[in-house]
Amino acid sequence: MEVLLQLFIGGLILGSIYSMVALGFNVILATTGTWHFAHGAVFTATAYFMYWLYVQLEWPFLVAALLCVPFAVAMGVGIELGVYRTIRHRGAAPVVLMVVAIAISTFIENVLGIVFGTDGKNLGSGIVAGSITVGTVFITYWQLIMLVSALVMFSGFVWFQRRTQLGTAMRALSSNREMAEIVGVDVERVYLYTFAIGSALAAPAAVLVASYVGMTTGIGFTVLLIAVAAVIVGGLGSVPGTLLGGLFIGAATNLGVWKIPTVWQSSIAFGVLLLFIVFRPTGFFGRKIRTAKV
Amino acid sequence: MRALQSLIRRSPGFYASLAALAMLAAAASAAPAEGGTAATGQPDTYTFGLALPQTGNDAPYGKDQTTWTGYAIEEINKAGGVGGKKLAMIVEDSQSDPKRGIAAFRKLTSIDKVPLVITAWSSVVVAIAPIAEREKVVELSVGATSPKIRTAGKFTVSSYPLGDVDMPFLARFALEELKLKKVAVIYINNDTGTPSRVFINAFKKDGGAIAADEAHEPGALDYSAQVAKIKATNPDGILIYSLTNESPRIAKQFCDAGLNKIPFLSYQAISNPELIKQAGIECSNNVYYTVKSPPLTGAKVREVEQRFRKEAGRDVNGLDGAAQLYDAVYFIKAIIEYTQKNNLPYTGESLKKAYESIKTFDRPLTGTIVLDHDNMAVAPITVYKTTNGKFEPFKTYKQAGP
Repeated sequence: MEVLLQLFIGGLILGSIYSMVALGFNVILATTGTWHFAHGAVFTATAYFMYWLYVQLEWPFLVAALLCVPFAVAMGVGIELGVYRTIRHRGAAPVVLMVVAIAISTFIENVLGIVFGTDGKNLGSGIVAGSITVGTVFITYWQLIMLVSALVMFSGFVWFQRRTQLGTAMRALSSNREMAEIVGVDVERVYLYTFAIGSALAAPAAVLVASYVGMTTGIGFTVLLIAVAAVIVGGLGSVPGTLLGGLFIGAATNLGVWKIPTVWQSSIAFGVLLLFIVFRPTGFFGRKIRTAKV
Repeated sequence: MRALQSLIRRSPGFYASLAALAMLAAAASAAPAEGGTAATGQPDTYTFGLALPQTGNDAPYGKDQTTWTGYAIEEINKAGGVGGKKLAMIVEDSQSDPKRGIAAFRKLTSIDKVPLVITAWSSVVVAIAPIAEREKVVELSVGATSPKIRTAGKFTVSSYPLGDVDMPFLARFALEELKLKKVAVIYINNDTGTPSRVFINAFKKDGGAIAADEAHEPGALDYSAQVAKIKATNPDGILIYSLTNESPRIAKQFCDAGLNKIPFLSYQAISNPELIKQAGIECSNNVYYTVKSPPLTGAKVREVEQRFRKEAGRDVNGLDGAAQLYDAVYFIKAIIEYTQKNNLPYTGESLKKAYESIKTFDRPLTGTIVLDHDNMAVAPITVYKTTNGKFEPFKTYKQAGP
């Protein structure tokens, strides 16, 4: 029973990383209809930016971490303005944008490899050390920070979405683009803000993952694959669903190996995705996958 | 296409040029890697290939190993070469990935026409072996540990003892020296992780118990499930059998979970500065790992280490691996000298005949190895311990064998 609880906690923490990455991806997908697979590359580039500031330039950790947010925003806005908007105006189908997103992702990964080298990087030990034990369950301070960060991020975004004009506009575009345009929503401007906010949401996860496990040029794509599964499990367009989807996949991959070898972990993650696609394609709270504009 | 047709129509010399190009290509494909092949089948320069990770997660080790290979070549050439002829190598990037490794091997054998290629990393060595066998090119494995390599093919020779050589000694060490009764195992789920099976069998055979046996995927983000399951079994020690870039992270996560007082057992992959950097000094103080040679403390080792430190401005990533690659060049020198002495051409088949005949190789840094019936090296095993951030020899087993 103690092991089960420990596995559950570990799974929630893993799931919180997936959720944080999934949130930005889902917000962009729901509002703009873009399968922004370059979101993983924005995540990776931000992690390397953190490495550059903190390890190579030896800036204070907090300063470096805070600067990662505008960096991620600049990446996301740059991709939207420089690539997506241009080809969208030329009438490109959403599937073309998806292929372009994968190309951007590969391009950014390769550039990072050329600039920083393709070997793994890490921020070193001792940023936040130690752990607490509650009963028989241990949790490191770093893991606790991850979990709390995810909860704060989601709460903050729900507030933003419900209480601000931009949040309302994003929700309106997500529900019905044509109707939103009729009532005067500036679609292109909201798209731009969506990419800025969605990319900013990748920054905390990038800093936390970089600090906890380090980084390689391909880490963003690895995380994004499971984050996309979390989006589908949680429900396309649903913010609470994204959190639940990420936590569910994280917990399932850990709890699933309670009595079987841990070698099954990856199979369990994508097995959960398959089950949802077949038996509950709307995920926990979302729209049906077949209605997505792909 | 139309432009090409037009070119053919308009250029009277086109066919002549095409014929000339074809002749040139034929000549190039028949030529050896460097220099010309003399009538005796011996080239002016002995060129071999090297396929190690130059990019990717394992590049810090692959690149340092390549540098040390270069040192040995330089040293041999400075001393007159091999029978008066120079040694040279062509480097390709394997990225420690089987697919990339195969591509690198194919390039080295089909374009550069080398009769011998140095490789490492178990999954790469195992993937290349059938191609080496088919093309009759020697695959010299220097750093891979999977026992699968033993039966991979007769053109695959390992100057580096496999995991079935050192793991029984590590099991004995755990029982006799560390008095461990119950050990948990975490291993990487690919060919690299297979020697952990040897440890488990040996440890159980010698009277120990395996508390847990858990795998992780290559490039895993988190090991919390493995850590939780292993911690629950309350082991006396933990065997970490993973890659150079993942082993320090795994050790760190165990220490974070409070398992920082029990010994970690491993093999040479864990002996790199990243262990200290990532896991910290306190966590790494209980790490014991095997190195497949006598203690690397000789004057020659220090000399090469110093040269590297002076040029690179840092310590080498994985001294054992780099020293093995340095010595691999002396292994190659010995088998080339055999072909010279026996008037054999510089081909894969001749080099294979050479190592099958010589069997015992004296090497400057890592000492003597003997090839067993599968052409896999047998050597003394040294268990190292990390103490205050330093990797130091702890105990050497002189009699080793599979």
